[in-house]
Amino acid sequence: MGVVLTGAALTLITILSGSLLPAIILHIAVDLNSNLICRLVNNKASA
Amino acid sequence: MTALILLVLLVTAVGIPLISLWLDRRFERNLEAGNADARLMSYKDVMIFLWSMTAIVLAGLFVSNIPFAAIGLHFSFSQSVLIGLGVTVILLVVMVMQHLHLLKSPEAMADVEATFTGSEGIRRFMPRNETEYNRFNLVSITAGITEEIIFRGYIIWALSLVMPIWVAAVLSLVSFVAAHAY
Repeated sequence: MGVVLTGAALTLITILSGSLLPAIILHIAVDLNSNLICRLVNNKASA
Repeated sequence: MTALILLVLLVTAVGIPLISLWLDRRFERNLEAGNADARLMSYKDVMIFLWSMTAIVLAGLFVSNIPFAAIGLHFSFSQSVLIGLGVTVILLVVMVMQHLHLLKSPEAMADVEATFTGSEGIRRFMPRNETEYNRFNLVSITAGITEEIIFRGYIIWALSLVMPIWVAAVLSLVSFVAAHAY
């Protein structure tokens, strides 16, 4: 479900803006954030 | 639509989900074989694969004499681009606020933990140590650039040559979701 929503948001932003730049920035941020969350989850599991 | 544009469209829209599935099966076999570097190898495979596909897309456009700007790959700042960047900033602020909430709320953290550990696909693929975190950052940057060029740029543009753009957008989304189905 998360992939569908993220993909839909990225698609909408791209079509409305006519540029890939906003979607590229958002996509990178979302993926980097998921890496941070992985770190949090792992730290909590090992604590 | 020329034969080359159609060929690149097939390679990306259909080929990427299929090759992603194959890469995932290979990753699974490496994990089952007890390969300690399975995740690092998988991250490397994903990066090489995505950059290769992007090179094919850009080469296809170049050979066809189609400017990269046609797929939205440009750096002009028209009003619509600025609005798109504004929406992006708002979404980024929401994301940061959610992250801060996660740090403060044990219930929210438990929900996220359940989502991450509840999904076999996410649990297998998620990084677990410093080396993997660092390489996953590179995967994030790679995916952000290449998947946007391929799915939101090329596939929507190529399909919109023969159908309404909203239909093209939905089909591109279907291909994007299929590529992440594992």
